[in-house]
Amino acid sequence: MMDRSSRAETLTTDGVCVYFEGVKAVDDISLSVQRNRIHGLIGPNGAGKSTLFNAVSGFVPLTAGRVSLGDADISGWSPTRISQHGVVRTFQDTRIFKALTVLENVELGAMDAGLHGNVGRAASLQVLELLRIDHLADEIAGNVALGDGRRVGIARAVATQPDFLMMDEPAAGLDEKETSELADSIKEIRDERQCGVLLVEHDMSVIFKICEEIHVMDSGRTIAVGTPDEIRTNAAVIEAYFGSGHS
Amino acid sequence: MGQSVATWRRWAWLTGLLVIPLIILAVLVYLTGDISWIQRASSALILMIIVVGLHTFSGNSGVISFASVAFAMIAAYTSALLTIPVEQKPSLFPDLPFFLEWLASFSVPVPLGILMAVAFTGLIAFIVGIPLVRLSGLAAGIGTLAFLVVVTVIVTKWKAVTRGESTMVGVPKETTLWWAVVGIAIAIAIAALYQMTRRGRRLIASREDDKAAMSIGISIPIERLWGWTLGCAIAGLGGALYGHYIATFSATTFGFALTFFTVAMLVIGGLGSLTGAVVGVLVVQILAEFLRTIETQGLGPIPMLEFPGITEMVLALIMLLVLILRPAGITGGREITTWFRRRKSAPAARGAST
Repeated sequence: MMDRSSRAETLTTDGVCVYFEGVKAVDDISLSVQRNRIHGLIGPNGAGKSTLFNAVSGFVPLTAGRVSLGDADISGWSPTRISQHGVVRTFQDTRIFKALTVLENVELGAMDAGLHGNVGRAASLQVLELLRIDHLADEIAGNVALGDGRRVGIARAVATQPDFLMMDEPAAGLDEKETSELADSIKEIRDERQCGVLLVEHDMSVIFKICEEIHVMDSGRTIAVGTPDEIRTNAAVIEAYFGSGHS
Repeated sequence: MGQSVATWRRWAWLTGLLVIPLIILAVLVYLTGDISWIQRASSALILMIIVVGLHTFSGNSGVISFASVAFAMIAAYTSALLTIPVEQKPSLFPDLPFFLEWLASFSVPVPLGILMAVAFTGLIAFIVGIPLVRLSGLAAGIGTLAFLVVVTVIVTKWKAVTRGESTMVGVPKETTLWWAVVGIAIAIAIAALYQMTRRGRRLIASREDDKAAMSIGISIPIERLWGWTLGCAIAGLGGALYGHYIATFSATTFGFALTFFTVAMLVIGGLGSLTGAVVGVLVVQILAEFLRTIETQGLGPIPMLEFPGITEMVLALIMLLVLILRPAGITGGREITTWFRRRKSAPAARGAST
């Protein structure tokens, strides 16, 4: 649909703030996601991860700051326009179209990349294979199990051929095995589609397994940025997660 | 368009499964030779076109509209103005405003008049749709109802063009049972094609989950505007055919009563599926016939009792019960084709979804 001949290399936020009636949900966050890299966004409950995520994807208005895709300022754009320009998100509660089949869900994503009819179907089946749910193609999406539903939601987003894929807690509610397999899948998506990934996740095993850079938030602010090894040993992070008594 | 073979096959199935029984029904009614039954079948099929139009927007978008009858009215008047014989026009419309005087100088054959009326209705729908489709829920209901009021007032008051509260007369009476059959077949085929191809599917996606739809680049106002324009044009087809069926009509012909009926039919049949629109019209129409008999002749063994107004009351009650007990209507919002598919592959108990 949109001209994506020149793919943006970075998705950045500059001093992004989101206040709700005086509550500083997101306070001066600057982060940068590179294409072909997986960035984790972590933090305790209420840290502001989801709000930042919603702000970048256009679902929540910015109070201050700027979101850029490459050189383009995309602050204040509608969610529709942002996704048409290659920044596509998933939802924690999947938000798959339950009345449609799994394949139809993914085909709707492919339409955003201008792929319709037979071409769209073929592209969608490829994405389903990539996510290992091609056997569910003709199931009604509302009938699939939670873990598969998450994969449908991710497949739908991947089918739009995003430059940046934003995932909101994709492993929430999954068991250990499912979580581990999902982490592998996310890596495969990045490798095959060469997109940047911004991953909000509670499950540290996923974050430390696949992220190349991690951004840690607490109470709306950045408390650490670094590689998994740096974050693992960062005192402020340990403090935020376990409280002073544990460090 | 590059639609896949599977899409065309599903389209043919859905259209066939809905249209063929209607054709059979029409032929059976015709063979009885009973004029009153033929009339009932004709008007039911024409009404069904309007309901299919309503479904095309409301069913696929999940946004209620009370305006489809207003568009049926616009189309009926437009086609009438175009097709009334040229020699009758000066006496029927002596005071046409200067910018419409050209209307008195010609008349077109009825099929062409209907086509032009449908196109005009679509154009009006597109223009008023630009602001209207931005409304959802209660606001959409009130907004479309306001549009119905506006159209009704214009038709009632603009005597020079619509003959005001006097009935429209001189309209060629050409719609037959077979015209109605062709009309509903076209309406169903177009509505089925729309909801199976990209535009309609994007509108359905926005109905299922607006945020998710936006997240994959779907522009909800644009998709709604397409569905709205197409749905209103289909309702216009029904309205134009109806005008040429009854031949004399006024604004009250297309008023709140008809609006209530069409909405009740769609709700009872099942908002969300084309099958629901078709089934709803059949069920309500048969029920209404039965109730009207009671209304005028009493109930079999007690012929002395009459129940004026029972038709609307019972329909309202049924609609209420459906909304409370089975909000997805008789069909559950499913298409007839999925019923067949489900029977083929016996569904095993599946894991609970979120």
